[in-house]
Parts: sequence; structure tokens; C-alpha cells
Amino acid sequence: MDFIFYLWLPIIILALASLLKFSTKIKGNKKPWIRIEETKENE
Amino acid sequence: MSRHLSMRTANPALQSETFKKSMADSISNERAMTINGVVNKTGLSLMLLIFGASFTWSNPELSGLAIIGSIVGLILAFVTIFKPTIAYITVPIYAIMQGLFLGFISRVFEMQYPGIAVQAIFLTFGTLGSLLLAYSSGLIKATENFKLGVFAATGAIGVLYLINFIMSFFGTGIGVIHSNSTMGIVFSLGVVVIAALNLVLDFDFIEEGAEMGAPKYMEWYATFGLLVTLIWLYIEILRLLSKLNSRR
Repeated sequence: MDFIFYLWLPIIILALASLLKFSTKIKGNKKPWIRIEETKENE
Repeated sequence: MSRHLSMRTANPALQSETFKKSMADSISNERAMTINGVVNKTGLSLMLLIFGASFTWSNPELSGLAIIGSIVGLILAFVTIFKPTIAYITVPIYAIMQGLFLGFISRVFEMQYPGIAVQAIFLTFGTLGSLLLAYSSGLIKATENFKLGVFAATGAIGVLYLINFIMSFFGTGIGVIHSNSTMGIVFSLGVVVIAALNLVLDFDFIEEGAEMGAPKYMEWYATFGLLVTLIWLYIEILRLLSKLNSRR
């Protein structure tokens, strides 16, 4: 395979890993649809 | 110590003292450095660089202009480092001068290996985009150890190039720098990686400057730092590609 491919490979992998990191960040920041709260027994 | 290291960058233009000197001005200055300002000024400087490069690219017989460009560029780089307040004048001229130099050497490489200049340009901007994404996502963080490592590696490369430059006066040199052997290619690849990692330090410098409210003229100075790294990265990629092409 052309050596240019091997030079682009780390750049593409780094970009994809960064996008993955972005997506996990966004997921982590989302508020859950359902919130289960603990209730006291006599409430 | 920690504060000193947090502002350290391997780029000779972006040293820790730079912010300290400018902070006194920033207190009295209402207009502060912003990331957006640096982005705009970098875009403008790159356009000026391309303008200069296109001139020597289309007129390769004007090799004298490229030599003038590199010498004037070097003088302007020192002026910018020692007097950052006038960076708004020196940096645009520096960009044009470096453009004249880069356009000529790109054309020389292109005549030897057709298509090499376009590949080097795309790889340089690909690396810039990818590292910008990695930095803003938090995948790569400019920690103290990271800064120290890149600083040491850049210094080592600088010393090696200086020794090679001195040796060239005696008709010799460090073979691995110019050789297209496997060791030569591994060396070039290493230099490209270090040059690319310097971009992360530049991003960190810009972010820190904006956070600390550095004065407005530091936008031009940060642009200069980024330009120096990008030019170095482009030249090293060009050198690596020429080594790889010569083995075909």
C-alpha cells in the first residue's frame, strides 16, 4: 500500500478518537429521561 | 515552579516570560486577548503566507526573493520575540516573507517529486485539524509532564540541527538528518511528531492567554507562535515525503 496511507492513518485515528470522546462527553452531560428518587417509608 | 511550567512551551517564540511581561500591560488595557481574535489573525496570516508562496511558486527563477524572504523572516522573528507589542506589524510581513521562502522550496521539491507539495499541505492541515479536535475534546491534555517532554525533545532537535549547521561549514554533517535510510526516515518521522505536538502547546498557550486576560497585542504574538510551528511542521513533512519518495 502507498506510504501516504500510513501517514494519514494516525491523523484519521486521532480525529475519530476525538469525535468518540466528544460523543461520550455529550452523552455524559445529558439529563436522564426518568429520575428515580428515594422516598422515605412514611412519605 | 508549577506556575512556571504551566506556561512553558517548546516554541522559542512562546516562552513563559512572555505572558508575565504582558500581564502588567493587560491590567491597564481594557481590550484583552480572545481565542476568536487569534483564530481570525491566524486565518489572515495564512492568507498572506499563501499570497507570498504563490508568487515564488509561479516564478521559481526568482530564487533571490526566497533567500531575501528567509533572511528578512528570521530578522522579523527575532524582532517579534523581543518586542511583542509591535507584532501586529511584524507578523503579517513575516507571513509574506516566509511565504516567499516556502513557495520556492515547495516548487524545488515539486520539480523533483511531482505532487509532493500538495500532499505536504494536506498532511500539515490534516495534522492541525486532528490535533485541534483532540485538544478541544480533552483527548490530549497539555499536562506538566507533556509540556516538559515536548520542550526537551524540541530542544534536543534544535541542538542536533545546530550541530549539523556548524558541521556543514566543514563539509560534513549528521547523516541521519538528510539520509533516506530507514534510520533517516524514522528520525524524520520523530521530528514530525514532535513538531505536531508543539501545536498542542501552542493551543494551550492561546487558551491560557485568553483565560488570563492577556493584552490584545498578544493575539498577534500567539498567531506568530502558531505560524512558526506550522511552517516547521510543513518543512519537516516535505522532508519526510521527499525521503520516502526517493526510495521508490
